[in-house]
Amino acid sequence: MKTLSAAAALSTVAAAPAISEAAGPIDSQTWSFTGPLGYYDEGQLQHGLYVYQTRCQACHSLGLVRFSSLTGLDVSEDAVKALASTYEIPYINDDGDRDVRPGVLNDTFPWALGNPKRAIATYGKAPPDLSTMARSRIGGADYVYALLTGYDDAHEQPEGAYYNKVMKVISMPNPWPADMSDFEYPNGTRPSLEQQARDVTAFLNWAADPYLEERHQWGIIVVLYMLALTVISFLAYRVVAAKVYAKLDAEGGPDPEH
Amino acid sequence: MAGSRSPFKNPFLKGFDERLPILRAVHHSMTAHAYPKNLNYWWNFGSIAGIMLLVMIVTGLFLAMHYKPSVQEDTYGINQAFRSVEHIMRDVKGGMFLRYMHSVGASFFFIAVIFHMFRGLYYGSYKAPREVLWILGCVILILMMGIAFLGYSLVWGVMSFAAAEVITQVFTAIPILGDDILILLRGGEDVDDALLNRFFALHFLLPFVLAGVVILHILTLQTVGSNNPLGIDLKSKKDTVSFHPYYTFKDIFGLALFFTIYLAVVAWAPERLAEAINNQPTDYNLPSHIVPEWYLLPFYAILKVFTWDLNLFGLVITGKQLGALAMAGSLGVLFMMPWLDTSPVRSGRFRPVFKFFFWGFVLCCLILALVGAQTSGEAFFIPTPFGRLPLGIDAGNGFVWGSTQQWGVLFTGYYFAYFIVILPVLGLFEKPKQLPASISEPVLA
Amino acid sequence: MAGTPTDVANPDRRNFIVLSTMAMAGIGAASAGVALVRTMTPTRDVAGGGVIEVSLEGIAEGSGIVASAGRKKYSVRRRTAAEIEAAVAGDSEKLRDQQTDAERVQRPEWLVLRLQCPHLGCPPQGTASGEKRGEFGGFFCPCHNSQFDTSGRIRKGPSPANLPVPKYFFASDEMIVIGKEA
Repeated sequence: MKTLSAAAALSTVAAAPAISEAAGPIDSQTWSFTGPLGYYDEGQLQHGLYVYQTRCQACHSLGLVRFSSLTGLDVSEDAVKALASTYEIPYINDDGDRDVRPGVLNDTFPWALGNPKRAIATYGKAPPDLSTMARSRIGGADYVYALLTGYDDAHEQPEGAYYNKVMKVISMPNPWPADMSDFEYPNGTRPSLEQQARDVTAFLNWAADPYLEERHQWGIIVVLYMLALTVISFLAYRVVAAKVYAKLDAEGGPDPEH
Repeated sequence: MAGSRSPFKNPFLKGFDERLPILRAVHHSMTAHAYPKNLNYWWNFGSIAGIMLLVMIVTGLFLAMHYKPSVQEDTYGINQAFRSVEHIMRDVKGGMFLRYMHSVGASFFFIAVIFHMFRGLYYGSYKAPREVLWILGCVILILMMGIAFLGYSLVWGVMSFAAAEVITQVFTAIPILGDDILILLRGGEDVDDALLNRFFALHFLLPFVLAGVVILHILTLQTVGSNNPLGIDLKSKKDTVSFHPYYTFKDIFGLALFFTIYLAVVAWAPERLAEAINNQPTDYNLPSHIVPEWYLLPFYAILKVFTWDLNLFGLVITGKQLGALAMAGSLGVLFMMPWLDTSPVRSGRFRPVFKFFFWGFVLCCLILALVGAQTSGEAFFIPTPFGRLPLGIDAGNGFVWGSTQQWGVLFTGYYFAYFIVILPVLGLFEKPKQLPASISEPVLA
Repeated sequence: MAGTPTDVANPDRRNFIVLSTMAMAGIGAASAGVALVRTMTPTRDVAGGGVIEVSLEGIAEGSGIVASAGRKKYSVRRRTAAEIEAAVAGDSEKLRDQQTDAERVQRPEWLVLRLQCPHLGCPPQGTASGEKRGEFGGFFCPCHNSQFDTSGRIRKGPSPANLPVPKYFFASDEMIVIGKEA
């Protein structure tokens, strides 16, 4: 990036779509978390976590999500501790050697690929971290869902990459196996591809915005309070104005020559 | 002022005030200064802007307790600066609100200042004796733009890097010294750790410089007095009112309404005004679609529409240099307002022809903002709730009729024409409506 | 607008409205202030980070380990019978910071202490085998020569108090949790 011409950077004669914009239109989906009264369905988030673990985790990290935050999925702290301990966290042991230890609550989800260099060596391109993915793209959750359901193996595949309705050329292969008839959620239900995509999208939205519900509730309280304050301050203004006008009619205000 | 007697009865206040007369200065400006009694709601935006500056400084200070300006990457490939912002959003108690109050607050600070400035442009608040007041306001605007740009870079997301890269590159337009200035600004050849750290230092410092200029701005106002919607001077005590309690309570109401909208956005749509891609840490590559924050769009448009070189008798001015000069000029021309507008009448209310061109200027700024957001070579369009309204056609052979760049050049032309041609000429030939005798006597003289 | 009277003519009602406005604005400002100060409290990634689990397996009688939680150092020592006897004998002596051994341990065999000398904060030695224990066979602070007994009580030297006993509990016979109560 040494001597990139500003003119070249600014006057883009664009053929390639913007990185954060889809190449085609994205369908609007219904989510429980959209709108000022949006909320998360914890059951859906738990299913989404399961889909992340089975289909995404092998390549994508969630480096900003701590295990402790999973209690927001309505899971007990002991269950979260147990989940955390199934992960191997790399660290340097007392002998000074690279080692792994079981995860604790405070750890973030480890990256299966370990570090960016190994990711690039394995795949040519590092699969991006998913912690903020749901708010890094125009369309948010709709984009993520469209991308996950946008694969078409029957379509002509671009050289060295894959075809996806949303990105046209995508380095990520189709994460969905052709035969999912045996796939089950821990509660025994058999979800379709669309259902899995929906659940993992909701989970990724939570990963990007875990305090959505708190923010919405705060909004209701604060906005109602502010509306009340606006009304009462308007009344106070009119009250004061009346007093001031009465005085002005009699005496006038400060001397402008002052 | 210090020579006058202390107005306080309370012995502690009186004693303090006699030793350091700041309390009586505040009391004096609130009660003894003559304000026009006919100020309308457009005059609320000054105090709103002042409060927003306070909000930004306070939220910024508390953010700075957690932010780390380092490009060092962890094993996930996430840089420390970006991670510290996410740390604020996730781990700091109340951190999500703090961060969104600051990012949404920047937008609302600009909204207040934009309405405040357009009020000034419409009612002639820049005319004598308020030239210094206006110029200080222009300085405030430029400082705000600089501070906002610096702050946006600190996130070190994809667009933060793009902003730092592109805007520091503009300095290479300076002849001879341009490349050395670039290295000096960046602390190196590339946008890297050195730049991030100094951007943080500057972003922390400049708001206090800004506050100082705001104080000068207010002191100037108290000296020259406030303009009013009629644009005519105060003639007698019948025209005036003291700031307190009338405008104190009017401002409190205006603030409450403004904050209701501001906090609603913070709660329910905090990312609406932001660029989504900046929620991803930078990989030091430019995204294909570079856009600044919305309040910088018109100036960004003026910067980017100049892509051809100008040959003046052998002296070549490159497109990059033209763009940089035009952008600087678009701000510089604001400073000249008191002398460009030749009309003897202040307020646009009595200038029917001016009104037409003024609203044309407002439209021009909106169009330029859209130009700044869109891709230069593509057909220009107006986004509406019902879809895109195209104002250009791609002819297919590589040429576009009504491209973003073409519309940009046209309206950049109007922007400069408004200041350099229209306003000077209009004042000389316009026949204004009859001004009233005074504020308190709306009947014609 | 000029000169329009308001419909609220009663002066008390007028004052009430004005006072309510100021009160509501004040409450708003105060809650904003509280929220701001709250951002200075320990963040979620370190909250509760002072708790540590220590395995007691493999600690032989007469030895101990030092466990760290953040910047805090703890000593977990398995005392010999002789050390316990000496500690109990010290109960009847006149001590600068009078405490019985029973007040300082939950199980006599296990001595759990915070390794921070109450004098000026250095971590005393004496936990693991081979470290200096001082005259009283307990702990020795190398900074200013405070000497502690086998119960961690100050016997000689400048420390004004005994080595602090942290909150801890036995999760099992093999595991203690230091940093919080059961």
